[in-house]
Amino acid sequence: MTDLEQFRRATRAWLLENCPPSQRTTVAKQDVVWPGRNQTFPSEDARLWFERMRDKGWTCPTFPAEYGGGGLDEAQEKVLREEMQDLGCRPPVIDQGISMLGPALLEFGNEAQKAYHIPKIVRGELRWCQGYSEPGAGSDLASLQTKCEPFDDHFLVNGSKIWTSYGVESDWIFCLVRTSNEGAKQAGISFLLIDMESPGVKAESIDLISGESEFAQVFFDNVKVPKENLVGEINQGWAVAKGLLKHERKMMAELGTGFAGGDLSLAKIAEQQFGRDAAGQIDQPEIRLAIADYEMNMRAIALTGQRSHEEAQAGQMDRNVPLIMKYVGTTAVQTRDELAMDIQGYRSAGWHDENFSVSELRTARDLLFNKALTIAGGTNEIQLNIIAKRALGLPDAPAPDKEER
Amino acid sequence: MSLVFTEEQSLLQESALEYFAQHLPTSRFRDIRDAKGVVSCDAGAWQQMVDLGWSAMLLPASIDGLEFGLLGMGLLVTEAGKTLAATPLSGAATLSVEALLSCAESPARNQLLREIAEGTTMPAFAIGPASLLASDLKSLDGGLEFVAEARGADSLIALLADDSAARVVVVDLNSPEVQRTAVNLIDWRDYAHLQFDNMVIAEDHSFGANEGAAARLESVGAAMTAAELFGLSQEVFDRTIAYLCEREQFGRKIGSFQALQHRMAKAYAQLQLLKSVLYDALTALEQQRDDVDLAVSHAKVLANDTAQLIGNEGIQLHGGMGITDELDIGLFYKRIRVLRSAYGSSAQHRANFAKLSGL
Repeated sequence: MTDLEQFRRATRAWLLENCPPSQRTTVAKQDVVWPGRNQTFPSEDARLWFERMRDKGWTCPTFPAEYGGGGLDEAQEKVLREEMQDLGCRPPVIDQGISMLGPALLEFGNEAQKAYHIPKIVRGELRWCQGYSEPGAGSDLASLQTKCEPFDDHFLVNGSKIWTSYGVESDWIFCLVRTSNEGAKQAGISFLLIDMESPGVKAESIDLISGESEFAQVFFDNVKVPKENLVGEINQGWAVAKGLLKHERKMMAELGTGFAGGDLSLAKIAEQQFGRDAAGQIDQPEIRLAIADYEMNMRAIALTGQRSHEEAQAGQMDRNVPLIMKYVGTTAVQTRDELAMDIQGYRSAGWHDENFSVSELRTARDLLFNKALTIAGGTNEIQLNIIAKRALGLPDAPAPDKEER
Repeated sequence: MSLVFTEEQSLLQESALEYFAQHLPTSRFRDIRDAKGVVSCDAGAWQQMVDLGWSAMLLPASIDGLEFGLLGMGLLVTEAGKTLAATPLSGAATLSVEALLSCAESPARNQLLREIAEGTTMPAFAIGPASLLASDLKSLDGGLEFVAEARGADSLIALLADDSAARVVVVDLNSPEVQRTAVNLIDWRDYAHLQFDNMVIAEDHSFGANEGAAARLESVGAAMTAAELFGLSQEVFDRTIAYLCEREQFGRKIGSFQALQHRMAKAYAQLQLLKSVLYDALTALEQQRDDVDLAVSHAKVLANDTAQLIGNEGIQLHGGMGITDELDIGLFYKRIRVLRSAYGSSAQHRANFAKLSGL
C-alpha cells in the first residue's frame, strides 16, 4: 500500500469516528459555522465537529503545521477533500481568512504576521472580511481612493469600502488602500490589515434584492492602524491582491458548482409540477429539453474541470482553460435558478408566507441572491476581457488603463 | 486518466498535423474541387495513411493490429477536419472495422480486416434496414441513400439491422448489380445513393453481428463526426482570431473591439467544453462504459452547436470576405452544415440525452 492509500484509509477512519452524523447532511445557510471573537454554533454537534477538525489543523489542511495548520501536501489535501465529499461531511467552518487571506499571508506576509495571524485563522478565533471595492472603484478596482497616510508608528486611514461580504459580522478586514498618487494607479496601492474594533471603523449592512444583507459598506474615519499591519512593501499591494484574487475566483467557481446541485433536482421539480407521460417522460416537452440542456452544460463544466485537473497532473496544464470556469459556472447556476422558477410558476415566487414550503421560498431567493455570482470576484464581462487578452492574445482595447481586475 | 493524451497519442497528433499539412492541406481540397467537382479520398493518400499505420489502429493485436483505440482515431479525424482532408479514416478504418469486429471471429472476417489494414480495399460504410436483405439473407434488393465516400470506395460494408438482429455484409461496388448515383452536396464531398438489384452476396461476405452492434455503430459514427466538427471548429476559430489581429478599421485592429473580443471569448469557452465532452465520449466508447450512449449524444449535440456558433462567427467576423469563395472560411462552414445532419441531428441527440437522463 502506498503512503497516500494509507493516508486515505486513516483519514476515512478518523472522519467516520469524529464527524457526528448530523454533520454529514446537506448544509443549509443557517447551519454554517463561522469563526469569530464571539463565535456561536448552530448546534452542539457543529461545535464538536469544528473543534475536532480545528485541533487537527484541518480547518486549514494545507497550512504549515508550525502555524497550527494541517501540514498536508496537495495530494493529501485532495484525498481529505474526496473523503469528506464521499462521506458527506460538512465544512467545519467557513471564512475568508481560511480561503483567501491565509494563503496570501503565507505567500506575502512577514514572519511576525504569519506567526500572529495564521494560528488565529486556523483556530477560528477571528472572522475576516475583504475590503477591495469602493463606491467609485468596482471593475476599475485600481482607481480606489481610500486614503492611507503614514505617521510615526501608525497609518491613518480614511475612506470607504463596499460590497464587503459579512462586513458587519467580521472582526478584521484586509484592505487595499491608496498610499501614493504618483505614477500608475496600481503602483500607489498597499495591502493593510485592520482590526474592525479600532475607533473610527463603522460597518453598515446593504439590503439586497434577495431580502438578505450579506454585504456591507465599511467606513473608515481617521482610523489608526499599526505599521506592522502592512503586508508586503508599501505601494506593492497590487501584487498581493492579484495573488489573492486567484483564490477568490477559485472559490467563486466552486461556490457556483456547489450551489448547482440544489436540494431538489430540476427533474424532480418538473416531475412534481407536470407529471410524466405514458412513455415516462416529463410531460412538458419544452421544459424537458431545457433541463436536458442545463444538465449537458453542467456535465460539460464538470468534465472540463476534470480535464484541467488531469492535465495539471500530467504536466500538460493549459493555463487558459481555468479562465473560463468562473464564466461558465456562474452563468449555469443562474440558468438553473431561472428554470426552477419557470417550472414552478407562482409557487416559486413566494416572498414570505407560511403557505409556501421552505424549498419553494428558496427558489426565488436563490435566483435573486445568485445574481451576485456573475458580478462579484470580477464581473463576467471583465472575465471575458481576461480570456480575450490572455487566452486569445487579442490586441488591447485603447482604454486609458490597461490593468483590469 | 482519460481526458488527456498519453505520450503516444501526443506523438500521433504531431505526425497527423504534419501529414495533413504536407499532403492534404486545404489548398489541395480546392485543387481537387476545381478539377473534378468532387473531393474524395484517392488511393494514393489512402496508401500513405496505411503506411503510417492508421488503417490498423483499431485492429486487435492478434491480427497484427495496433489496438490504439478510438480516442487516438478521434484525434486523427479532428486533425483531418482542420485541413478539410477527405479520408477513409472514419468510414473504412473506423466504422467498417468496428462493424466487422462486432461479428464473431472467423477466417473470412479476419481476412477482410487485414485487407483494410493493408489498404488493398477501401470500403465505404453504411447502416441500413434489415429489409434490404432477402429472406434467405443471400441477396440485397433496395437502396441506401447518402452513403459517404461511396464513389471513391471499391466496396461497401453495410450493417443491416432491425430490432431483433443485425448482419454485416460486404459487397463489391464495381459490380453491375449495384447502381451508384452521385449526390452533390454543398461540401463538395463524395456521397452517392446506392441501388441494389437482387445483388448476390458472396457466402463468406455475410456475418451475423452481435446484439447492440447497430447502436454501437451509430454511436461510433456520431462520435467520429463530432471529432471532425471539433477540428473544423478549432480551425475556423484560429483563422478568425488571426484575422481579428490583422484586419484594421477605424485605425485599429478590429480584434481590439470589446464587442468582438467577448464573442470570441464565449466561443473559446464553448470550444473548451466541447474538447472535454468529446474526449470523454471517445473514451467511453473505447472502454465500452455503461453511459456511452449518453456521453456520445452529449458530444454530438455540443459539437453540432459549437461548430454552428463558430462557423457563424467565423463568417460574420470576416465581414464581406467571409462570404467569398476566395477565403476558405466558407468551405469549412459548408462542411459543418452537412456534418450537423450526419449520424443524428442536435434535436435527435438532445432528445436521446433527455431520455437517458430520465427526464
